[in-house]
Amino acid sequence: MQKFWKAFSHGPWSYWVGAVILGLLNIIILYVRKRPWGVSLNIEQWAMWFASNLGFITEHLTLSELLSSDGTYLNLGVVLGALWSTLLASQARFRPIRYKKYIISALLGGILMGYGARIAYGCNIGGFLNGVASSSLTGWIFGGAIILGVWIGTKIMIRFLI
Amino acid sequence: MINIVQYELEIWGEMCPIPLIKAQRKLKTMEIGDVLVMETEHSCTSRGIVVWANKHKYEVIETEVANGIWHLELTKTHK
Repeated sequence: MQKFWKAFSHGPWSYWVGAVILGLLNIIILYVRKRPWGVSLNIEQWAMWFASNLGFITEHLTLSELLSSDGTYLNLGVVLGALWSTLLASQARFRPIRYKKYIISALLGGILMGYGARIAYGCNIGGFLNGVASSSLTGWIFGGAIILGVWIGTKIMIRFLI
Repeated sequence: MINIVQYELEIWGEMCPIPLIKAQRKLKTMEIGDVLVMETEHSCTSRGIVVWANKHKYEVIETEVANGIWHLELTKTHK
């Protein structure tokens, strides 16, 4: 039992265990929410809220609309769940940023990810996972583009970050 | 007489796959029997190196020396 608990909390879990759990949870989300799971749409709504409060755009979302949106809690759950699992394995630790170039790469990566996810109407989850799960062709095209993007990204990483 | 050399690779604070690529490059310059010592505070970095080493039949010892800190000893067992 103790051995099982150690493997449960510290991992690493096999890919297939993770895949089965992810698939089951995704089905539950689709059933309860009547909409597939997505991450970046909600982040866009929060970004709109910030931007409209700072006066950059005129479209308006109220805070109560955001707080009553299920996407907010799904995203919060992802972050809190990740924190919980790290705490459970007692591996939580503040990690200072090692090099200044990591700040630049993180910022550039974040901007490209956010922009790309929105013009593609979805990120890895909404665009790829649920695209493929609903046997939509766009999901497969998205998957092909991910592989191409990772290949280019790796070239850039080896050139600039090592 | 075999002379075993121990090398250290500084990968603290670096995220995967950068440390793995660095370790692969360092390993190429080492002789058979030499040991490469690394320490990291990223679980995925440690796992990535262990999984890669096992797959390529290199000897690797992973110890969690403190909560969330891993010490790795990678032996170049073959070419």
